[in-house]
Amino acid sequence: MKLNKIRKKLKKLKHQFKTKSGVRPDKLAKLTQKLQEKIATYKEKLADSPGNNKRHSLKTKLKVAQAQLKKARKLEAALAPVEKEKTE
Amino acid sequence: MLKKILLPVILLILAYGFWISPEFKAIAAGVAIFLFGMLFLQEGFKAFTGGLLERLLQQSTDTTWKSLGFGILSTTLMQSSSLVSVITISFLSAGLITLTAGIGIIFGANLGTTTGAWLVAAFGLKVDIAAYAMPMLVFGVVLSFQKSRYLKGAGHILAGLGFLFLGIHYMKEGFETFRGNFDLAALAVPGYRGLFLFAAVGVAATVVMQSSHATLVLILTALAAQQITYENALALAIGANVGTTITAIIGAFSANIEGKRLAAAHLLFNLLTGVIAIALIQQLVAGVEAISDAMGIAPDNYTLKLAVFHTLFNLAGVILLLPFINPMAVWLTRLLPAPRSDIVQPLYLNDAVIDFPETVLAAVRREVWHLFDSAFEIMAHGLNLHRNQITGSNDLYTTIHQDREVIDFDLDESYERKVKVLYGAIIEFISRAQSHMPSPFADELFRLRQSAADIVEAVKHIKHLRKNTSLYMVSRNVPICAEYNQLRLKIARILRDIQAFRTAPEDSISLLELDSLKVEVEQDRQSIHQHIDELIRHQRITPLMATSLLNDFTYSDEVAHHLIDAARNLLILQREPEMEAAQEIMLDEDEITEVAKEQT
Repeated sequence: MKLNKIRKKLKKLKHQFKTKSGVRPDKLAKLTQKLQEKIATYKEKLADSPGNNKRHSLKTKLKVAQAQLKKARKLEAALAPVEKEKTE
Repeated sequence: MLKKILLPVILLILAYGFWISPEFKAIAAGVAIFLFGMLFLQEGFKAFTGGLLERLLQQSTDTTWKSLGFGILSTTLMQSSSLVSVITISFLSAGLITLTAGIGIIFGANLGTTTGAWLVAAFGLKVDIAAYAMPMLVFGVVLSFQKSRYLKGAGHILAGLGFLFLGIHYMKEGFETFRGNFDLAALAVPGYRGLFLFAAVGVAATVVMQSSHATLVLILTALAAQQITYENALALAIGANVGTTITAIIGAFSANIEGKRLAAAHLLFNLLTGVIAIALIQQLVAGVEAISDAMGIAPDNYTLKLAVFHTLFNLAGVILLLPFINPMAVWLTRLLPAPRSDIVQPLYLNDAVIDFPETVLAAVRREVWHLFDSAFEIMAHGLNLHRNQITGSNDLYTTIHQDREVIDFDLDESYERKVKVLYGAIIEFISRAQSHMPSPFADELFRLRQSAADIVEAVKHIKHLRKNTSLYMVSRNVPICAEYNQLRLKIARILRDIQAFRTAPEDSISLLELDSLKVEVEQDRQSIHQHIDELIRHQRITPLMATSLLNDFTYSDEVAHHLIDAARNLLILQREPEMEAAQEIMLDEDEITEVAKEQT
């Protein structure tokens, strides 16, 4: 079921990229960069605030940003062959 | 009453004129065809305003000089100061530009419109433009039958130009035949009496035709046929310049107070320019002579001299009044204050914007944020918090646990006054605008409508939550007090975060950070039953309290979800590539549940 969902999404992305619609790899790379910076900031803040009541919220933000980064990387990997195919 | 009588009287006079004079018929037909061409031209340009003109307007108005330049350039290109002023009013009404920038554009449009007189005087009356009109009309009509929006727009522009040329041709012919039978120049009035009289005629003619361009072409053709004297033509041109403000005034009827202020600024500028031109007429005429000599314009070429005069007195007006743009904006704001009402009314929605898709979206987005602001106050008070306690930089946890003040206010009455009317206006406006919108814009409009509905739903759930919150937050039972404070804290934090994201609306990271709020809400949802079981087991709260808490938790959960969804739809900017990428990597429901599970 889950695999089916991923396959469908990839198909959609491939179509969008071929037709120049949807996600642009350069923008995705920029977003990945921003997420990495966010993760670094959260880690820094977590190290600086032991016992703070904002700690739980910071941990959540860190987890979410990491999950989003993982998703962004998967998307980049999925787009790479399509981009290559297009340049060829 | 006057309106009812005026139209039949005008029609009767025209019919009588056609009966007694075929030349008058030709001139009137020329004016009608010219005005028809202007309508076509405006329709054509509207087809290209689905973004480009609006984006340009937004980017080119951050300084007075840029606004002025934009006004000159756009009016020169479109040959319609009316279209530029109506678009400017729509932008101002939508809150996308400032009144100062709007005044700058209007000043520029006044200068830009003078290029029309140059074109007609230099080419329109010398060349047989009817020869160009025919193919333009044919190509224009063929293109305007096409399905593509842009081809249709190009067709309208071509046909519009064709009609303009044809109109000029008929006016020219009418006046030339007229010359053989009558001598209108015999009616010329010399001196200042003639100046005021013909200026008034110029105002009246432009008000009737709603186009200074048409009046000016009429003046130029009559002058070329020597049916009016040069002095009277100058006065007519001054009058036409004042009369042209009628389009902006009519446009401002459906605009909000900012639009009305701009229309007033337009009238003020053109009136003052007219007064300056009449007061300094001798000096201006001398200036025209000097410039004409320098440009090599023949002494008897009065049509080109009129074009010089038209540009000169508008330029004089701009130079004299440009330093007073800011005081003018301040004075107009004081003169025309915003109407005060207990009921919150829409600030950005008005019919002036409805033909421009990007402007409609921007106006609706702003109005939904306005709705959010109104609802914010009700929600804050519903949670017994003040707005500044949520938006300030204080620690929310401490504030909520220390502040035990129950705010006395009628939530239903506030909802009726601050949310219901505004929400109704948004729905009504979106329903009307949707029929004018191309499909991608309509989708975005639908999302904004959903966002407004989410905000209203959040307020309704706060209403249910308020009763027990007000009761238990001051309870002596510390655990139940803490639980209800936790619910207040959850919503207050979401409201605070949304306010923070709003300050960086184009930052895609703000959109991604909404996922953290969702995960926190999900974490609470996953742990609530176990948590309440523990409280009952240890007899820290009564079963009755537990039931209330469970119900109210559901309400708070609904508030949280509706607020996050509303913010998501408001923050997403379609056609923004980075936003599109961000939407793809936002976590879906399953992923949110997964991350929440990892955390708990």
